[in-house]
Amino acid sequence: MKVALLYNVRHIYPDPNDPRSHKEADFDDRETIDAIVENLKVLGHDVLPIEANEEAYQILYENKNSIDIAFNYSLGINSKDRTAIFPAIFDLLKIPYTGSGVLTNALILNKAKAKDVMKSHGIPVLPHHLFKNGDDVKAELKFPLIVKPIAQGSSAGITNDSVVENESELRRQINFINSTFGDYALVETFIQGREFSVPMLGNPPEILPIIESDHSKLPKGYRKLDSMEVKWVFEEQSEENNLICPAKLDSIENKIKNIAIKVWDALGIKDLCRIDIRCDQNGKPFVLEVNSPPGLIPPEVSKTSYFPFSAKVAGIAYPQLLQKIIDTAQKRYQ
Amino acid sequence: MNGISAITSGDQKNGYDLPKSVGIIFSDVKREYFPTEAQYITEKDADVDAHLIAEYLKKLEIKVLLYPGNSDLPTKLKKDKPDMVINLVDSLKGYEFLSSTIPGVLELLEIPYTGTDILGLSLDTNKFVVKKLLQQNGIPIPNFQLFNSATDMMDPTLRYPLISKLNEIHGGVEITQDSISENEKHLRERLKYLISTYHQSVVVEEFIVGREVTAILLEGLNKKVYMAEKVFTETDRKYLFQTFEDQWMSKGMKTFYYQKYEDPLLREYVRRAFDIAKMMDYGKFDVRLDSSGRYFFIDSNTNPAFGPKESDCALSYILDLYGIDFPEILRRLLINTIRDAKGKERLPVTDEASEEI
Repeated sequence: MKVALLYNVRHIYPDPNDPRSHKEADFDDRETIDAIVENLKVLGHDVLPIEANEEAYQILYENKNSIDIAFNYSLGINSKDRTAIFPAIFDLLKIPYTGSGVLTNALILNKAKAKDVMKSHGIPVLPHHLFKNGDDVKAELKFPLIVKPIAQGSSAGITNDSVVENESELRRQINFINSTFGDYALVETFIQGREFSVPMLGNPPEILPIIESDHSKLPKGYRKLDSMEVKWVFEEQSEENNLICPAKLDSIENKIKNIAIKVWDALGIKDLCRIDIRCDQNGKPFVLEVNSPPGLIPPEVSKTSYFPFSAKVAGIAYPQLLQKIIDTAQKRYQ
Repeated sequence: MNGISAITSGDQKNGYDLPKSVGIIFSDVKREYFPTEAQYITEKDADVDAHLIAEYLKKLEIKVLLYPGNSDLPTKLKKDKPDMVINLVDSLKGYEFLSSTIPGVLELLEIPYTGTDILGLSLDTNKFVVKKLLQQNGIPIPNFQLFNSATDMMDPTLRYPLISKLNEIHGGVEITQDSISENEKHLRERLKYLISTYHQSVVVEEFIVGREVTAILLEGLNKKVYMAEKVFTETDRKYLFQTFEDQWMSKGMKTFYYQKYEDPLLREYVRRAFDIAKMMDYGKFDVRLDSSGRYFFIDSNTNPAFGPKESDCALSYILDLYGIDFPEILRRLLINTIRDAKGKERLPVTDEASEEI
């Protein structure tokens, strides 16, 4: 089968202290893309790797009749709706592709709109405010709060400093988001309970083993959240893994699974996604965000990429995971 | 003189740059792309309308490049690199949901464009999601339900009469007197017809008996709302609303006319709804008023027909009531698109006829 792999590569390794690197935080290293290509080749596929940039359209257009499926691992460039660009192009060129469609990916990337849609379906999300400028803060807000970019993934823009305890810190962080991403900052209550990540695969989806980020294992000085420091420094460099999979859920398991299925349906997700859920101090779960496409770093590059890590626990080796994603997508086009 | 017409060639020398070249992308329309003649009719004049706008641009000494929206478009745009693009595309290969491909391509190529982005346009082709968003944010809408099949369980709280609308198609397609159901048997038959013909889900909502207002919002640095009531002249109909036939088949025999409508409350709702639906530059809403004077938003259009009065579009008719003509709207749109692309503050939309924010 001819598989076009659409991807984006970063040129700077994620560094919480380097604002330039935040913009590429959800892109992958060249090594990761090469490893995905190799894994697809091991499955016997004829792989056409295409960097998802300005040149990609022409390559897809010229090869549209020979491509059996596009494995959409692209995050796109130049746009606030960047993850939706290539699904739109695949639709136009009638190339079957893995993962969710245009509206779903565009909605998911805009965290505020996604929260609105989820809320309208009765899914628990935290109330939020949007600010373009620190000077716009006028409402009486209850601290601590967390400040996130409205449309980034992979913890981009989220560092230890993202949790703010007072108005002055809040203004500073809103201005950081605006100057780094040129976009709104989403401000919501910082809840401090357990945090889970729910990988989902298939149509209808199967919930793979749920991952818990065990924040108690974080060294002193780390905020208890999945910040850039945690994802790209601690998890990558530490010999100790802070991920528990499958998470010990007990009575909350069904609640989390039901929420995840509701999110899948409300947002019209296809094939795969990963949903981040965090509980408040009373154990009530709230959806933080959805990852589409989720990170799929092969184990030979990283042992802590959530989706492949969970799949491995479920007994699905990495190449088989890629094949399952392709098979799932292909079924939709039959 | 209103504020928009104050932008003259003299203002251009003061920094209000107009683009040198403008691409107009319009729907590439062929009858075989559409499942029904009705849907084809809503788009068949797309190239004519684009040429009409081109004439206005030429009067501003702007080089105009016309592009049908199809799979050759990215290659042509990459070669020509117009300073900006006016996006008029409602559908690609007959599919409205593909229209969000156009901003996708334009963003990839970093060409400034008019109208909303990928999210705004993809929302526009899913009425159900927009209704959910409006409802969630406190904009009044009629009670509604999405039907994926004609046999879906019905929400027992829905009250007749009900109106059935295609979820992904605009232009009043299949909005006829037969869209109104007064009982479940009729509704199920209607759903069966719509779903089997168009292969998409259908939004069923309570039909609000009463008056109807159309609101146009123009966005500059600020947001200005212009509203007009549709005054229906064929009052012998049981249910008064604009049908597909009224909109597309009865030129010269109008079944309604527009008259100015003012209410600060509705204007504020429209401003909020514009942001909720992720519209940009301009947008259109249809709102019903029941006998108690309560508002219900029944339709939102992120990419409404855009053109001069001779193209017979609501936007120009309504703005004309407020003394704003098409060249003024067009010029302001061009200037603001270019200013946006350069990171400059947009110019405000101002006029004397409507209330300032």
